[in-house]
Amino acid sequence: MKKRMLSMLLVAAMAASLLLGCSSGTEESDGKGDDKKASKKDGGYTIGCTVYYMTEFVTLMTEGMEKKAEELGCDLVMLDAQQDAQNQITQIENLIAQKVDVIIVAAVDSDAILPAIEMCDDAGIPLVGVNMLFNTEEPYHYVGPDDVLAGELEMQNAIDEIGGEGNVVILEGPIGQSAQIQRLEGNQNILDKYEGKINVLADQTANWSREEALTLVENWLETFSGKIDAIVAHNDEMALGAIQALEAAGLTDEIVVTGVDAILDGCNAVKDGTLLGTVYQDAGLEGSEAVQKAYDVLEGKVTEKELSYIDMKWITKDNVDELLDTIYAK
Amino acid sequence: MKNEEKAQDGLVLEARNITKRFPGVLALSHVNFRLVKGRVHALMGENGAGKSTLMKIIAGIYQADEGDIFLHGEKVSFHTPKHALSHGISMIHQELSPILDMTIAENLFLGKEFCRGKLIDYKTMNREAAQLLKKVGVDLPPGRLMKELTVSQMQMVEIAKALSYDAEVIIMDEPSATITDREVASLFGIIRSLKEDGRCIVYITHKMDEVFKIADEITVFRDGQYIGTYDAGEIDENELVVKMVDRELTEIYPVRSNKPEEVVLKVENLSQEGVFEDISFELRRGEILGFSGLMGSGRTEVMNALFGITQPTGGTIWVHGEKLEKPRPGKAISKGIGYVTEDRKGNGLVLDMSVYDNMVLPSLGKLSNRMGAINRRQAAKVAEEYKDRLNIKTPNMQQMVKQLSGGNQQKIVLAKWLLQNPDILIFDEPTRGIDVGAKTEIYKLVARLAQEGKAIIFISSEMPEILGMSDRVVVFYEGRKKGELAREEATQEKIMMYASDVDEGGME
Amino acid sequence: MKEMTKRFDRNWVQTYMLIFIVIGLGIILSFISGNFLTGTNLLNVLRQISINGILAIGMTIVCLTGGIDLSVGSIVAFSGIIAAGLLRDKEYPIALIVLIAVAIGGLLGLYNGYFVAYWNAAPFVVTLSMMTIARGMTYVYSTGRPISNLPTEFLAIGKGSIAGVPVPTIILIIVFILASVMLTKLKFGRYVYAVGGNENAAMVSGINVKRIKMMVYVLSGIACGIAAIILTARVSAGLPTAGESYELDAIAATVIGGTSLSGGRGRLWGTIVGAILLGIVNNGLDLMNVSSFYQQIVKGLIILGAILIDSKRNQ
Repeated sequence: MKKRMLSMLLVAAMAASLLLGCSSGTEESDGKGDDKKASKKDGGYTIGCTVYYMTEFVTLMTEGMEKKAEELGCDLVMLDAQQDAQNQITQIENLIAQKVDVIIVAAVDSDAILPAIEMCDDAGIPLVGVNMLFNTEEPYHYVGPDDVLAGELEMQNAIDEIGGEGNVVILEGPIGQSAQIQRLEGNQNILDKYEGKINVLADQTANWSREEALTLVENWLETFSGKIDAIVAHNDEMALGAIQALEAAGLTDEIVVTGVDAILDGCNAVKDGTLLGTVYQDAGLEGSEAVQKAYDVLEGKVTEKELSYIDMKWITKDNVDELLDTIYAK
Repeated sequence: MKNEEKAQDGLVLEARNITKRFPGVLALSHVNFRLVKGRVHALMGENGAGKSTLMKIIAGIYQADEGDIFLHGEKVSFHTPKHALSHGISMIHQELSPILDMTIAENLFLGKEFCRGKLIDYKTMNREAAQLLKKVGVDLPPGRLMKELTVSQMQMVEIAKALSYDAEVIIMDEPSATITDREVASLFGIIRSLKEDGRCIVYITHKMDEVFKIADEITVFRDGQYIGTYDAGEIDENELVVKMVDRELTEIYPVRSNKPEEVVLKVENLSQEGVFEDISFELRRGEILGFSGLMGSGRTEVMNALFGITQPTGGTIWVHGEKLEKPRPGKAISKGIGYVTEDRKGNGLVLDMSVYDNMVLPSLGKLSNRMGAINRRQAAKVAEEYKDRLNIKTPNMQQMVKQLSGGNQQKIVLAKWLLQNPDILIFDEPTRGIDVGAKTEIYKLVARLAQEGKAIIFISSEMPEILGMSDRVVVFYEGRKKGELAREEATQEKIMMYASDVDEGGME
Repeated sequence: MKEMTKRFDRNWVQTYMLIFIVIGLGIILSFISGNFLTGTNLLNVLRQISINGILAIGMTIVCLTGGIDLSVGSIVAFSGIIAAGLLRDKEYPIALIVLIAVAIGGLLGLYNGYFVAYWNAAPFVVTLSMMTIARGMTYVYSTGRPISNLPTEFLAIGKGSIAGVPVPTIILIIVFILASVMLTKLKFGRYVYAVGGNENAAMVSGINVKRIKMMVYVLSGIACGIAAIILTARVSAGLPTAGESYELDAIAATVIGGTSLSGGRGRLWGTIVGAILLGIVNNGLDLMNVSSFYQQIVKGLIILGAILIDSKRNQ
């Protein structure tokens, strides 16, 4: 009986020590943040942040945030909503309970984030959107990529490459996400200029996924055998899936592929020549700008709620090494 | 005690001063036990006396709280059954746990498969299995699936499995509870040859006749205490019972005056394809109708169909002159039938529920209002009433039934049906695995119920029970009604003849 | 006599172990983070656990019969998206739409229950099939897009409060009380335990085992419908991706609460305390700025710990 009680206590102790262990671990790794209220007195703020999911891109973005926060003497509380909109609301509630000074959110869903705006208003805590737009008419603080421009860049360059005439297919992001909506809008802006000359054979979502894009493009190659001239993908992952399908079919030289994001694999593909080009959105810069904006809002330097975009850059074989030598140098 | 000196030289295993506690129960209190080479040692005692507990300690399933075990004079302590096996101690368990979707051979050699390299050598395994089966006198192909066997055949396979370890000490915990008389005979043959081989056998049973047939010495436990060890030749049945129950065994079977009344249940040509055929009988108020036959002869199956647990494929059932169409348990209950099933743990009780919950379970419909809310006060009252009437021993009504002894569990199954106040009661092996004291109580109760005007079907494999209780006896053989005998004409021989489909001359 | 008291003490400690753990955890957390033990935060936790709590109540009832319901997350999504669609169209009164959503949950549960009970199909497989069917229907209905612009009166279900208590919490409490009454005071509840404890014994006792087995899935579906309403109101949109992997949290709360997945044994209040424990851990780790990666490890360890306690208890 003693043994049984003991083992139960052990389990309890294990769980408790793990809790303590985790918390002290992160606090140490932060290097500071022992007492948030105390650091506020020194002039720094506590910035709460919840992101939709720790993708490679988001990880780079949060690194930019951390660097900037440190520079400004602020604490950063970083949470991951794991693609669950309800969970993100929960996290924002928790950040509010924690009395952070400002909240930065990379929304899981452009619609589902709307209740958070009201919650933050009620609590008197400013809210700054990053990377994902909110689906509202009301003005709000936002730092994000110019996805319309990205869509324009990738479509324009693809069309230029095939000589201003031919058939394209589009691999879209998940329907309804702001990146998908805006990149498609950018695609369309260019297509409008080439009406009659450029034909869109198909456009479907592959949900940002390499595997889904691979299957989709395999099917398209079958359906539109010999007709496709260019594949325009809303991100590099899907572009890479398309490239895999083309390689399997031995069509790499026949069909042009463009992407967005300039992830490491994407840049390597650009260097190889399998990917014509990709649009670079500086994730670190985006994170750092978001933190800067949050700071400026608190300091009263930014009063008007507006969207600010960070620059998008067209990456080709000529300038891809700049990226590979800097942010991807490790 | 008396044979201590002469046993000394051949002493194989000795348990000294063993104590074992379970939550709230002192299962064994400073008991002693000695096993001698080449002898069959019967362990007797009522249920809950601690027999199985001690054997499980010796076989490494439980660990003793106090006391020591010596094997060939050396102190040992087994932590697992495997550990005990490696020291030559094997045990045939009371409750079977075969893997139904594996073959006999696979079950026999589970955990010690014959292998050639990494691959299982089925050929050798089946050959060895066939030999083992032959040894225990079972004529079955080793490749047959376990689930195709009858309960008694499974038990024989279990016995074969225990033999396959070639153990020095073989513990048999009620091996004969589920097997036929013919198989018992072959089991005894095996035991005798093991004995000649110099093995030690521990034989646990409730059956008196078996003990005197096979045992060399008898140890008696009572309420977790060691009472004594006796030479089988020095003690008679009556003395033994007194040692076990600590009271004189007077009249076991109650005397009744039987006055036949109107027919309440009539079954005509009831059939279930491949299971039983053309079963017809009548049951009257105030009568006890005995159902005899071997295990698997169709007695239980007929009752299951009658009660609607399975569906009959032909024939008619009349209850109180009304035809019972498409029987379902719920319907049968509402017609006033109660069914005390054979397998307490299998379909009689919900072990994880309390005494109270189990007792009122089939009556909840009557004990709740139209909204389905239970009238708890009334339910508790009737449950309490029947607990007292049946003399159920439990600390309180919220006790889990799994913590009670077999006899008390069986009484709860009875209570659960009596609470419904049925006119027709089916008892399927109501005394299996319970001790003499509880048995007598159940006999008295059944007799009283008949006296009160209930109609009773009494199924039993134990011949004295059938003869002692029944007004009429129906005998089954392989899914058919083989004969019907009135109380006056029923004898053990006649029943046996019908039940095994052999001439009197062919009987053992 | 001494034996009896000893046993009583131990049972008591074991039974309420979970509550001690929750209280202990609360004390530890309030030392670590000054924000934990504030009124608003505790109300937050209660609001945050409401969805999982309601799902876990349904799950517990299913598990008591020895079943499991993997489709709860998807049923939440489907009921939610239909509710959002109807709310956007503004053709029916909100109360009716809420009832429709709950009924849809019950209907999908009926599908589960029918095949489990009357076809004797394995609950794991049947509800797995429902899991993907309901998710697929959600995408079909929504064409993969969120449905927003829901009326503000509806959104009050998500963020409103009555006398300081959040509406979702009030709904959870009502569901809990109703389910508790059902399990303890109605014969249906006894039948659920009996079917899970020993199906054969239940059948022999005249219980309509198939109907009980079917009903528990309907109840779980209804719980999903209720949770869907709260979730939709909370995020102010019908999301095709809503409720993904919620079945795991519901099962976790159930198991932590001491309900046996093999059926017949368990208690509803344990499930609620289990849900609270998970909620507190999530909330506490958020407050302590612990990465979600660690949060998952902690959750896994808690589930393991609960199972260990339970298996010790049954030894």
